Order: sequence, then C-alpha cells, then structure tokens
Amino acid sequence: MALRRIVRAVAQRDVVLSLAGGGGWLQGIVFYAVFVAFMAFAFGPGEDALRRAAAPTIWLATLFAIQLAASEMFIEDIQDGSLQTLAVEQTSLLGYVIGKLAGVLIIVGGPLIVAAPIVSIMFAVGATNLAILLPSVAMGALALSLAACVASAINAALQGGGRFTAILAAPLSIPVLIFGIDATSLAIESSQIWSVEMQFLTAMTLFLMAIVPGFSVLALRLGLE
Amino acid sequence: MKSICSDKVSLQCDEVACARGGVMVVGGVSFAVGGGEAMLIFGANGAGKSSLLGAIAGRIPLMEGTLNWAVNDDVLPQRQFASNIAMLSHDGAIKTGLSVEQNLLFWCRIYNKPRTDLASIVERVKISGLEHRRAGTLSAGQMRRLSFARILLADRPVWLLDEPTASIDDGGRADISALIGGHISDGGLAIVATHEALDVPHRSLRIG
Repeated sequence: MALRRIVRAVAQRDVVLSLAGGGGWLQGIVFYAVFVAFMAFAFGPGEDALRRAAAPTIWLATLFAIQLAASEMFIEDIQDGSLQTLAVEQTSLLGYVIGKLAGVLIIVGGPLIVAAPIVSIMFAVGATNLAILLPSVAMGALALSLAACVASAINAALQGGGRFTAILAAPLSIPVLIFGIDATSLAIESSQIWSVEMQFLTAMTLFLMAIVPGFSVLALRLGLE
Repeated sequence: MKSICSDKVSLQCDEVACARGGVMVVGGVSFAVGGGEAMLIFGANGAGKSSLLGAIAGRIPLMEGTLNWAVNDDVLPQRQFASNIAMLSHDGAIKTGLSVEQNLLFWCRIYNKPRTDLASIVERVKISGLEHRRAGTLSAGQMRRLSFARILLADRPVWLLDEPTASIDDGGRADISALIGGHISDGGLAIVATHEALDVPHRSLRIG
C-alpha cells in the first residue's frame, strides 16, 4: 500500500540519517541520562525521597528529551526542499508525517526504554517494579511525541525555527504529564498498572493519535505556500 | 524503458498572476504547452520565474487567472494531476548526511521504483563512481546532477525544473539539455525556469 510504503521510506531514511549524522540519535538519550543523574543527586540519598521523585523525574526527562529531538523534526526537510518536493508531487503527506513520528519514536523512544532500568536503580525503585513502570512511560513517550509533532509542524509553518515548539506543545503535554506522573507513581507505590490515571493517559494518547497526523499535515501545507 | 508519455498531457495558462508575501511578482502570463514540447521561462533575477513555476506546480496560490492541466484533453484538478509531475526546486531535496546511493534509495521507495533502476540513472547524469560518497562532500555541480537523477527516477511525463543548470559547467549544461531533449522527444513536457539558453528545441516565455 502506498501509505505504508511512504511511512517506511521516511522512517527508515530518518533512522539512517540520525545514525550517520555524527550521533544525532544520542542527543536525546544523553540529555535524559544527565538530567536523571543530576536529579538523583539533587534529591540526595534518602530512599523515600528518591522513590517519590522517581516518577516526576522520569516524566520530565522524557518530555525534555523528546522535545529536544522533535522540536526541529520538520525544519530540515523544509530547508533542503524535500518536503516541498513531496508536496508538489502529491506524495501522501499523511504518510510522511507518520513516518517522521515513527522515526522519532525509534530514535528517541527506543533508547529511553533501554535507559529505564538504570533509572529505576538510581531511584531505588527496584527491579520488580520496573516492568510495572514501563507501560505508562512508553505510553507517555508516544503521547509526548505526538504533542511535539503537531507543535513542531505549526512552528515550521510559522517559520519559527523550533523556538516556540515547547510553548505550542504545552497545552497538549501538560495534561499528559499530570495523568502520566500519577499513573507511574501508582505503578511504583502500589503495583497498579491499569489504574484510572493510566486509562486516562491511554485515552489521551488515542485522541492525540487520531488528530495529530491530520493537523500536522494541514499546518505543513499552510507553511509551504 | 516503457514510454511514460502514452497519454497526452497539456497545460493551459490564462492571465496568471501570483504574489509572494502579498506583493504581486508576476502577472498577465498566458501560454499553452503540451507533451513533446519544452518551454523555457527566461527572466532576470527576481523576475518571478520561480514563483511562476511554483504556481504551475500548485505550491503558490494564484492571485488571478486560471491554470488548467489536462490529460488527453480532460481537464484535471491540480491535486489529481500532480502525480504526473516531477519537480526540481531550487534546493535539490538532498540529504547531505546520506550517501548518494542512500539519497536515491529513499526516492526509489517514495516513487515505488526498483533499485535496479539506479545504476543506469546514475550513469545518465554522469555521477557513477560517486554512489558511496556522502552527498555533503559533492561539488555544487555534482549535487545538481544528483538532484536531476531524482527527476529521471520519478519517471513522470511533466518536468518542472527550476534552474537545472545552476552551478553546472558547460559540459554539464549539454548533458542536461540532452536529457531534456530526450524527454520531450519521448512525448514528455518540460517547463524550465532558467537564465541561460539550453540547447533544446523550445518555446520561450519572457517575464519581468
């Protein structure tokens, strides 16, 4: 199918590009690791305090790492004429946006999941709770990438060069953050995976999945004129 | 290679005007071209060549006038017709971080062409031997040839080319002219914004 072919082509190109381009894929995960390590020192050695801080720290680190990587996800394709060419030649821009999203999830989301065990050790969460904590964080990474994607597309249309992505994404990422942190805290404290908060987080993620690709395409089209 | 131009494509422009940033840059343009023809748009810097080409490509909205694409005399809306267009813009749509081959492979997937097409195309634009070079290390002229490879790969009847010979030497200009000549003798249509003459049978449109 044409859409699937384009999604694959774009995602594959972006992954190869980030691996080839002097470690671009490391940017998000290095930031994540540094942020988490500093927070652990900031909260000191008390195990209780660390455990309470675990969920907010993981979430903020994930949010910032994704925003760092995604804030300019469309700029380069606009600057080198790739997006213009795809649009003029009537390639499915929906496929393009989904491909870009998949690229971000692989390049940033993948390493974040790998880093989670290290975080759980630093924050005294314990290995048994790790499996419980992962679903909410993975869901959150998806939701936050979606929020960053539409903000980045609007920002590219305004020719803002990535400066306003964090502000534009805020109305979408704040509710995700609130329910996400609660869901992860509950998972750590009481081993509850499918809590009400997690259900809400899932609902928000599904909502974003439904609206973000379409709105991103719209914004990009406006920006190309 | 089978002919991509078995259907007759044509474009009719009437009193077209377009604006950039609210200022009219080109106006009152009328012409008609069809398959088997090349039209060169001449004009000084800033005359609006790229804007006109952008309007023809459907990227820049028209301020006035009409622009009709047709296949076998059936007028089609721009969005429906656009899958017949291959566009070479100012920026060549090249990823400098990828190799020549990786760049072309991406477009192979987009256009749904087999990668076996690549070898002959690389040869036709005369960049063979450079397949594994990072595109960022190519000279400006080689980059332009690489972007032209994408036009051949797209294998579409309508070529919209914006300064295809920018930063290309005399030999390269002859090569590009020959490729455009080959395309129109196959029944294709080429509209080229350029500031220098190309050695192809063509019609001229002077603007500005």
